[in-house]
Amino acid sequence: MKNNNLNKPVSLLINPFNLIAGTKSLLIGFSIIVITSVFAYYFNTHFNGVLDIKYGDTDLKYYNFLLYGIINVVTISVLLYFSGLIVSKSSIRFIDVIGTQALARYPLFIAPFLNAGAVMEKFASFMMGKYVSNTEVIEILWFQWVLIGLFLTATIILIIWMIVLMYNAYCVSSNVRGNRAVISFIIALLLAEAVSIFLNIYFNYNIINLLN
Amino acid sequence: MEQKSKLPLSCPSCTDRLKVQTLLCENCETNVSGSFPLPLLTSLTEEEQAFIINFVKYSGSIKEMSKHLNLSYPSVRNILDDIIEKIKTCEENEKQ
Repeated sequence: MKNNNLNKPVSLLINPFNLIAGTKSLLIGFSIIVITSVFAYYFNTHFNGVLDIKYGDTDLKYYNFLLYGIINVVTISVLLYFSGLIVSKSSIRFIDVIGTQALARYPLFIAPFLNAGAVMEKFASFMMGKYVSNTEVIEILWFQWVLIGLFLTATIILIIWMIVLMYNAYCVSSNVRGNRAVISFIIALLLAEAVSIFLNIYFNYNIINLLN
Repeated sequence: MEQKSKLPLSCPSCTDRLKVQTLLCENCETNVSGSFPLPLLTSLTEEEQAFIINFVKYSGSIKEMSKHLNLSYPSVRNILDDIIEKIKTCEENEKQ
């Protein structure tokens, strides 16, 4: 039953959960979330939803960025846990679901560095000015457009990588496969995205109001 | 080195599950004939049988098994659940 493929670098990048799960992966995953939130705070990177990466300067404090991470992990874990209870024939432990989902978010560690130099933030301001608020449109130089293109592509790759990890985490922690796994995962993910955006707005704004 | 022959489990012609017709006592060379079904465990692959043997050796502890196999707890539990499912299917097939 020992599978040497599990130790291959590609396998570890997209599915480390055959080797690590439960409390161990929760501790590693949560540590990465904490470190990521520090960089996210300094580089104005917002994970205000399970699948969201946004760049922009705000009045939010450090704990708001940490709260993003906690809300996202708890939301997706709870929904995937219930989804697993419905579709899986195995007995599922919540610690495995939350542990693997916490670790599955490790690609986000790279995201704040894509805004080093605030290029992505500038792009966000440009888009807001041109398409949302109809205010003054800031100028972006040609090399900045190149960087924006590269960083946007990298951001999309990070999100796809994270979704692959989240799906594999779900399959391992809940013992589901095939169409049943794909459909239940998509439903839980979409619900989690909506719920996490709501909770992130609700809690982060409430914290700001309480402190002010 | 003597090569250990593998027990055939299914018919090479129609793939149906085989039964034991003759048994031999190597001591007195007595042959016993009849129609004996193969044990349920032979329905499993060698890897699955080894897993079950190790699982019993580790007192049925998934935690100990995960250390032995260097796999995570849910991965070992998934292997076990799949074997349980396979055994159930085999039992149902034998009843029919």
